[in-house]
Formats: sequence, C-alpha cells, structure tokens
Amino acid sequence: MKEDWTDKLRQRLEGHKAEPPAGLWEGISKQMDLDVKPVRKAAISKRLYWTAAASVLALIGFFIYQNVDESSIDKPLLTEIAKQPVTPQEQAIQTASERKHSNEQPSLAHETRSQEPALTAQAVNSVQTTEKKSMEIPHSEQVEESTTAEDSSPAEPEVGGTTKSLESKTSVIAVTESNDWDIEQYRSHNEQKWSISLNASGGLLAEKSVERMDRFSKSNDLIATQSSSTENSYYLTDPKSDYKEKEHITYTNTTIDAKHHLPIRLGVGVQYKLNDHLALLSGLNYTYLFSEFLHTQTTIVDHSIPHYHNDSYTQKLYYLGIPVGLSWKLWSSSRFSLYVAGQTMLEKCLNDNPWQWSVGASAGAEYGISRQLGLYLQPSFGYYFNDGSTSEHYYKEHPLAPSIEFGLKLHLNP
Amino acid sequence: MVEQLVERIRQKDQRAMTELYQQYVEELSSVCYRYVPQENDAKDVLQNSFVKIFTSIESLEYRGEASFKGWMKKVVANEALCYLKNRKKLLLVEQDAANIQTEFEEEPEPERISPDNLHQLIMELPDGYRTVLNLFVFEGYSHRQIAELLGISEATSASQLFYAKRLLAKKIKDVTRRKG
Repeated sequence: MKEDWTDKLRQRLEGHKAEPPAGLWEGISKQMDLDVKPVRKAAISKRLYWTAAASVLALIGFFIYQNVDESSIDKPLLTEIAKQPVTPQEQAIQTASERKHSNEQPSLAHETRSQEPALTAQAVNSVQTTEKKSMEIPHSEQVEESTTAEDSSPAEPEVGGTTKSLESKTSVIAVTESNDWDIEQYRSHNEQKWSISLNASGGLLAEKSVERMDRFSKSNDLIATQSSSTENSYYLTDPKSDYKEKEHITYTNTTIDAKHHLPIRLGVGVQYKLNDHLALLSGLNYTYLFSEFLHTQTTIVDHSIPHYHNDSYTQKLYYLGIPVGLSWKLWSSSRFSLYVAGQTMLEKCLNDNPWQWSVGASAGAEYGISRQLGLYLQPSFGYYFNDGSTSEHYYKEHPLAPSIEFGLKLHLNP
Repeated sequence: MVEQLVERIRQKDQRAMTELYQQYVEELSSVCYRYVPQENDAKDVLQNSFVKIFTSIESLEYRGEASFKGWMKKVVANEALCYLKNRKKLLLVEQDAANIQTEFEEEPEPERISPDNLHQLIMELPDGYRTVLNLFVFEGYSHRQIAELLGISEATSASQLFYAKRLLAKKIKDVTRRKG
C-alpha cells in the first residue's frame, strides 16, 4: 500500500492537460508520411459550460423574481387600500365588506349604483392588482361566498354591473384580512400549469468492487505471446523489455478490479399540467459516473520469476439527458401532495460512449413551503439499457438501479 | 467513440489518426512534460510516442477507453524514459535508505495548489528525483522495479523518492505561502 500523499498527487493530476509542443503534428505527419491536418477540435470550452449554467440560473432567477415580485408588490398595496377608506368609492367598498355583518343591502345598492363611473375609474389600479391577484386567488367562487352566499340578500340583482368590481375589491380585502391560504385549492383553481424544478439525485445501490480474471482471454487465464520486441508487446507487458533487442516469450495474466461509484445527477425539470391529476414532464439532466479500475498484470518472461504490475485507471463519464414522462397525482392536502411518475430518458454521453437509453418509475411527495415553492422527495427505479459500448460503468453493472431524487419546485403563474 | 476510432486507425484511416491526436494530445503532453520538461525534447518524445501508438494500435486489443488511455500514457512514459536514458546518465544522489525514516519531514499537500502549479513544480524537480517520483507515483512501480529499470539500487530509488517528496513539499509550501 503506497503512502497517502502519492494518491493525492496522482488524483490531483488525473486528466491534467498541457499545451502540446509547437510543430508536433507536423513532425508526426512528416515521419509517417501523412497528408492530413488535425481537425480543429470542436470542443465546448469550460467558458461555454459556465455561460450555459449561468443562463439557466438566470432564467430560473428571473421566474422566481417575477413571482416574488408580484406577491410582494401586491400585498402592501392591498393593505393600503384596506386601511385607508378615504374616497367615497373606498368607503363604498368598505361598506360592501361590512355588508355581510349587517343588513344594509338597499343602501349599498343605491350608493354603489350612483358611484359606478367613479368607482370604475378609481379602481383601475386596484382592479389591475386584482387581475394579477386573480391568478392567485380562487376568485369567483370564494367571492360569491363572501358577498352573496352568506347574506341571502334579495337586493343582489340591484347591484348589477358593479358587482364584479365590488366582488374583486371584496375578495382583495378578504385576502388581506386572512393569511390562511390553501396551496392546493389555489393551484388547481388558478390553472397554475407550469412548474420548474431544480433537482439532484443519487444512486442507492452500494458501491462494490467487481473482480474479473483476464476477461480478454479466450478460455484460460494465461495468454502466450511470442514477440520480437515489437512495440506493442513491450508496452503491454514488461516496460523494461524495450531496452533489450532479443526475442522472448511472455506469459501474461491480468485481473481487473472495477469499482463503480454511485452516480450523481443534477437537473432542471419542467412540468406542464394537463388536468388536475395528469402532468407532462421533461427537462435536462446532467449525470456523472465515476469508476476506478485496478489492473494487476502478472508477467512471466522467459520462465523467469513472475513480475507483478499494478495499473490503476479512473473513468469519468458525463451525460446530458432529456427525460420525457407523465406524472399522476394520487392525493393532495393543503400542503402535501403524493404522486407517481413514469419516464423515459435519452442521454448523450459527453465522452465517447454511445447514447444511453433508460426507463424509470417513481413515487414522490411534495411539501409546499409557499404558494410558489415546494420541496419534493422522489424515490425511483430505473432500468438502463445496454449502450453497446465496451466500457464498464455503473449502469452496466446495475441495469436496474434504485435512486432517490430531491429538489425544489417552482410553480409558475399562467 | 474511441473504439471506432481505433478500428479506423487499424484500417489506416489518416483522418482517424488526426482525431485521436486531437483528442488526447493535451493529456499526453502533460505526461510527457512531467518526465521531459524541455519543449524541444518533449516534442521528440511525443512525436515518437504518437508514431508508436499509430503503428502499434493494429495489434492492440481494445479494452475500453480508460484502459486505452492508460496504455497511451504508458507509451509516452516509456518513450520518455528511453529518451532520458539515451541522452545522459541520470543525476542520482546515492543515499542510505536506512536513514530515510529518521529524516522524515512534512508530506506534500498537492490539494493546496492548482493542478497546473503542481505540474510545474514536478517539472522543476531535478531529473533523478522527478524520474523516480514519476515511476513510483504515477506508473505504480515498486522500488525494485525502478531499480531494475534505471540500473540503480533499490536504496537509491528510495532515497531519490524521499528527496523528491521533501523538495516537492517545500515547493508547495512556498507557493501557498506566496499566495498568502
């Protein structure tokens, strides 16, 4: 076992890159008599990755700001209206709000009718506010209840054209008076169709080392290679042999110890509500798979004492995937909701592996921390189809893999 | 996909060679500079390495990208060693391995500096220190194997590593101190 600092050193320089010497390709090309030039790598620079990440965050921030902005502006304005019944119109509104506590419908009807034009003009601001708010308040039914249903007044038809404005006003005041809100009712009544989520998930199957004995040999553990110090036999067997220009017989036995770490996934999801229960899901996921391999090579050259050589490699695979699926809401209360979801996902490997296709099923629970925001936890099972590559990774080792996803959901106003 | 690239190179597809070159040249350059810090020397080593990679690939059994990349790095490391051995005798300071444990000092803390800085500091080590450190740390050789490879004693290999470690730790500390 080597000292710890050597591991740190190796890990620190894992995948390190340096600028190649000038004129290198020209030299190779000349030596091998090639007549092609290297294609400029269409690499996506780190800067571009950061720009893309910043754009996504900015977009999410913008939506959050839009939502927070509306609610934070509305509330003080509404409170102000409620507290300062200075104009006759507002007095009328206040009267309207008090109407349910007294039986003064005839006078209210009279007053509102006479003030109608002024009320409409004056109420522009508050109506705008109400319109905005109407996205958040279950207006018509709730207002009807507060203004008409409770007082079984015969004067209802007399209020006529102004009823709507008054209803809106009344509902605004009712909201400012009561801090109670029902997320579920609010969401379903106001057709809050779009949601954005930020999520992270990880695999749940324990990491384990998988050892294979010379999987590259046909039938037995020992491969006999006769070589005349060719470059290949040298590099694949004993490094020292390159310095000797003599023929030798090399027996090689390789064991590979593979350790696949738990996958990590980060994503942005969008959800479109088709009806009260069903929603369409999609998004963009970034997945990171990390594996460690230890090759132990036993080499016997010309029947000499066996040489043991260890080589450790690490493999980092990055995927960008687009999931598509449906979710079905099973149950909901004021703050909680339970749902199940099914999805399929196609992932592009950013290294050189082929596309990865998977299907999955999950069950989740969401807790609403505010009108717009919810926290959710979603255990799931995914089946990862063989990508057909030769490289080993977590999903090949565990095609049926459980995972757990958690995140934040932002419900957007229509 | 690398496997397809390898297959195309086996069929003498020159475009595939340029693609492979483009994909790995920076990582292989990093390995090469660790052994051979001078640009002109590194160019010769890398040139020979790529020629060997392209010509040896035909008989190579592809075992996945990680293994393939490891093999290419090994080609570069071996080529660099060949170059160092042919060019001059390595400057090695003989040291009694028995004294090493008593002189133990601080260990390098590579996590405190950037990979670029660390790479640079390794390049700045004297030839002998750097070569043994590379073989021991990055190639995973034992002192016995290093001794055989470089034609030195195991004790010398151990002492070179000890001094390399101590000097690297000091250099890392200097860099972190300078940066405050």
